[in-house]
Order: sequence, then C-alpha cells, then structure tokens
Amino acid sequence: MRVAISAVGATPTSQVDPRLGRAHYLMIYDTASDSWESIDNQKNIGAPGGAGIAVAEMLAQKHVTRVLTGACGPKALQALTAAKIQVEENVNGTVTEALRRFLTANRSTVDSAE
Amino acid sequence: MREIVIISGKGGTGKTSISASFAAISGQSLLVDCDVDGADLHLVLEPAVQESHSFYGLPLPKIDPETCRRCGACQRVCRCDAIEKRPGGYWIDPLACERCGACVDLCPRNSIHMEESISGEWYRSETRLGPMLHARLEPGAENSGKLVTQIRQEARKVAEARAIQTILVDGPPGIGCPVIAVLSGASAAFIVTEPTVSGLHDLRRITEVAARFRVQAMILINKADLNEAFTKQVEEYARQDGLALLGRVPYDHAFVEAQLAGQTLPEHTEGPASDAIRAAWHRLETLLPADQ
Amino acid sequence: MIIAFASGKGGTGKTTVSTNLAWVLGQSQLVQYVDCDVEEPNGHLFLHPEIREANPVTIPVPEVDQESCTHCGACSQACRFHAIAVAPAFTLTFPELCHGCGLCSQVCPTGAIREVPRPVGVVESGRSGELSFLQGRMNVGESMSPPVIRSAKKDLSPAALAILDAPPGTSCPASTAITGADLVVVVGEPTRFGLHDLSLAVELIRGMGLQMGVVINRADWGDDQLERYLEQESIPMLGRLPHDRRIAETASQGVLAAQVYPEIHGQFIQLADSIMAAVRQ
Repeated sequence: MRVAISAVGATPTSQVDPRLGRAHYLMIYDTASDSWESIDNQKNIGAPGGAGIAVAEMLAQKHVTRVLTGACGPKALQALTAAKIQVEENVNGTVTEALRRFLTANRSTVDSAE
Repeated sequence: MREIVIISGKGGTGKTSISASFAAISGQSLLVDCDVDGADLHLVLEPAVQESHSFYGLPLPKIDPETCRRCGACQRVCRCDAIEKRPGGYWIDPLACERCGACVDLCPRNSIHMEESISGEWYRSETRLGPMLHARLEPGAENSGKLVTQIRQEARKVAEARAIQTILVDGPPGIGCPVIAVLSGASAAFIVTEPTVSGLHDLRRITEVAARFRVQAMILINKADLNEAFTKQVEEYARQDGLALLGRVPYDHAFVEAQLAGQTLPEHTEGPASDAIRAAWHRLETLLPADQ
Repeated sequence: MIIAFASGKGGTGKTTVSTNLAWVLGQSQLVQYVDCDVEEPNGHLFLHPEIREANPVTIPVPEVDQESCTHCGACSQACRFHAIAVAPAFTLTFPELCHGCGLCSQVCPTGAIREVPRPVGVVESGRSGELSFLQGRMNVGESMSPPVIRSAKKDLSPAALAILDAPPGTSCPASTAITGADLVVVVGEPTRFGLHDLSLAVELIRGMGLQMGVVINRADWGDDQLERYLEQESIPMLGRLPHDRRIAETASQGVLAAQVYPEIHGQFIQLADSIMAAVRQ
C-alpha cells in the first residue's frame, strides 16, 4: 500500500502541510518496501485553480491509495474519489507521526494489502 | 486567526474606505489590498515597501516569426479572437489571449511557445497601521485570481510569523474570478452595500456567491441616509436571508475629506459616520472574536 | 460607432452617466445601449427595458466517453486549467474550470471527447422607449466574464450609435468590453482614489491605442489634481457634472435624473454635444 502525506518539507520529519493541492511536498510511503519518496509540489502553489486536481492525478499515477492531509478542497476530493484514493483530513504533527498513527489505526487493512 | 474579506458586488460603495477605517480602529491587524485591478488602499496608508516581487501571470504564447509559415492554423484554432494576421506575420494579442495553449500545441511547425509573462508586482510593506500586502496588476492583464491568492498566502505567513490575529482584506468588486479567489477560505465576508437600486441588485448577487462558497456574510449599509426606502429594503433582505446587519453609515463628505488628507475616516474626524463604523467593528468583534 | 464608458474605479457614476446620456442622445438619433458590465449589469435598472429576446451564452466543455477513453492522459497534460483529470480507471472533468478552448478534444487520440455547451450567462435584448437595449449577464457562481462580454458584443447593431457600459477596473473584463470602441469616455471623480484609478484606465486605453476623453463626475467633491493631470497628459476633458444630490437620489431609485429635472437634462445635452464632437474627430 502507498500512502501520501502532504508536507512542508522534503523529509519524513517535516510537519504535515495543512493543504493538499498547494502543499510544498508530497511524501509517499510504500509499506511493502518501507521506503519514502518525496515529490516537489512547488509548481502548484501559485496555481489559480485546480492545484488539488493536479495533485490527485499525480498520486493516482503513482498508485497511491491513501492520502493524509490537513484539508482537501471539494474538486480534489472528487478527483481522488474517482481515482479510488481515500482521504483523511485534519491530520497534523510531523509526517512520521501521522504515518505511525495511520498505520496503527489501520493495521489489519495494511497487512491484508501486502 | 480570522481573515475578514471586505467586498461589495457593486463598485464604489466605500469598501476601501471602510477597510482602512477598520484597520485604524482594530489596532492590531494585517491589511491586504486584494483589489489588484484598482488598488487604492496604499493612497491612504502610505506603505513603506520592504520587499517587492514580480508576479508571473499565466504564461503567454509567442509566435516565432522565423519558423512560422503563416498557415493560419493558430488563428483558426483560437476561440478568443486573439490572433491577428499582420503584414509581418501572425500576432497574438496579450489582452485577448486566455493562455489556453491550443495554438502552442496545434501549430504544425511547433513555432509557438509559452513564455513566462510578468503581469504585475506584489509588495510586502509596513504602514502606520500595521503590515500590509498589496499588488499592482498591469492594465489589461488577466485577473484570474492568481495574484489575489498569492498575496493572501503571503499575508497568512506574515500574520503567523508576527502573531497577528486579524487579517483585513480589501476585496475586488464584481463577482468573478478575483472575488471567488478572495473568498476561498475566508472567515467572513463583510459586504459594504448602499441603499440604491443598483446596490440592492448587486448585493443579492454577491451574497449568493458568498453562500455558494460557504463564507459567512455580514452587511454594512453605507450612505444609509441617501434613500430611507431602500435602506429598509436592504434591512428586510438581510432579515429574510439571515444575514447579520452590522450597521448603517450616513452619507458624509468627511469620507472625501479624509481621503484628500491621506487619512482614514476615524483618524481624520469624529462624527456620526466614524461612530457608526466603530459600532460596526465592535459588533463584528462580537460575532467573530479574534482568538477563535 | 461605439462609445464605451469606462471608469477604472467603480462607483464614479459610469452607469448613471451612460444611461442618462443614452436617453438624451436617443431623442435625436438611433441609439443602442449595451451593458457589458456582465458581472453586475445595472443599466436595466435605469432604462427599464422590455426584454424581447434572451439567449444563453455557453462555453463548450468536454464530455468524455468513458468506454472509448484509454486513460492515456493526453487531454489532462494539454489542459492548462486542470479542468480534466485522468485517473487509471476514470477520466473526470471540472467544467467550471474549463475555458472552452477545445484543446482536449483535439488531442484525444481515440476521439473520446466531445464538446457540449455549458451555460455561463445570458444575452438579453429589447427596447426602452426610443432606445434599443442589449445586456450581457454572467450567471452567479461563474468566474469568467469575457465570454459573456464577447457574446453580447456580437449583437451590436450596425445601424445605431452604441453606448456601451464597460465593467469597472482595468483588467481583462474591461479591455474585452472596450476593444474596438471609437471613443472611450472615462468617468472619473476628483478624489485621491478617483485620480489614481483614472490614471490606470488611461494607461490601459492608451496601451490599446483607443481615443479617449474624460467626464468628471461630482466635480466639486474633491480637489483640482484630476484636472491638472488631464492637462499634463493632454487628455480631453469632455465635461464636468457637479455633485448633485438630486442625481444621487434619482439614481438610487433607478430613475433618470435627466428625465425629471430640466436643468440636469440641459447638462446632459451639453455633455452629449461635447462627446459627439469628440468622436467625430
């Protein structure tokens, strides 16, 4: 399973970015290989609209199935839902802390996805 | 932190004068002039610019005259009538072009490319009433809301860094792109209206936009004694739609005098107009306290 | 022949002036009032037209045949506005972000995209006494006014003098409205904000190579900086209207002051003469 977390910086110790579409980075964690990938999202920060849609598309292409973030706009949510990606909002703390909470709460789902 | 966006629908109702007055009364706020198409707040606040940045609008397509074969495919594909045939070749009118890129992608000779286009500037400044973010769009530039979004983001950063709880945004008129951009995520829309047939007509449209974008709306009737019958109509409209009416400000030449003196109304003079604005601010504070 | 009324700053009295002027001019020639302030059209509130025709303004937006779609992503890559998003099993469109450029349907390799009209506004036409009336109105919740403005202007009558009310400001809605005008009359006010915004309007209009003149409204509520600016810049001053509470009050009720007060009627006749002289040059 691949989990994406919106982040302020490009490392797992960064704070979770409260926005998804205009997050500075997306940190993608792969449970199978226990590895991190960081995606630079700066180009979407200045976008007038559709930033969340662009991120949703990118995540779908990267086979992400879960997203953890502060808040996600309605269009992004539509796009993520269409791509069968589940979103959890109101997530805060560092990226690693958020991942740890997610993995603990979703242990059985993660195990069966492996 | 609360972000109060001051809008009007109809232009000229006194939005900027009221925004400036609120800044003077609130004492501790950060101001953002999001009326980037006709920014006026700086005329009263005399900002000392600390940083200035170029603003890159959507990139603009440019035809390379050397590789262009004058086939006219770009003109046929353009739906904005933005491409003209001129003696020297084809030319793209930056005022009409919406930057869709169809001409770029469909040119058979790949002669058209997107170029970065500076269409304005934004500034972070200090004023006697606190920090201010403002901007200037080039005349004719597309006002997509991108610049509005950018200076609001910068404003939030500054407010967080300096522990300022209140952001006051002088918004654009109308109901289009820049207004939608300014409302997104705001704590409240403070609508300055006037008791005229145009004011009421436009008030209905702007409150519908605020509702659609889920932003709590409050109303202030400016020039309230201009037409008592219409003031009552606005009050009735507010009542029916459950919109908080925060006050009525009388039609007062003092607004013009204060402007000419380079001051906000409360700084310039006491009087019924000043009092009404103060009262409205205090009511706003009750509805939307700073520490929430 | 098109005379456009612009303002830089909102609230200077552009619509009040243009409607009263249109009415005055309509007494002696064929005049069409064209309201291009499509976000907040107010001309009708003064001219009380009888609307005879209303046509929706639509933008062609993509509709995807999910069965023919191979999810290659070409459309999404082409779209500069993120109005179309391709997920592995589904292609989603966001019509409200779409500018109607048609690129996605052109680049789709399997022809899975067809364009369907999405209403964004309406163009209404009719009559108001002697005047021919035309207005564009953008639907609430829409963000792009230029398509509605362009649509309205398609119905400009070739036989009449068009008095065109432009949106306030100096960005793309204003430039779309005034392009092609024979004269742009900027309605300004002699306040600090008024002067500043007028200078922005002047920059726009000059940049577009259009002829312009200025009418100073509420001319005694302010200082002389505006007039000095016009002299310095050699911009023709076409007239001055003093601040008149009667004009404000009638305007507030949607009544043409020139119809009610002979003195004000006289002022607008003078203004009309001055403007017609300017446009004939």
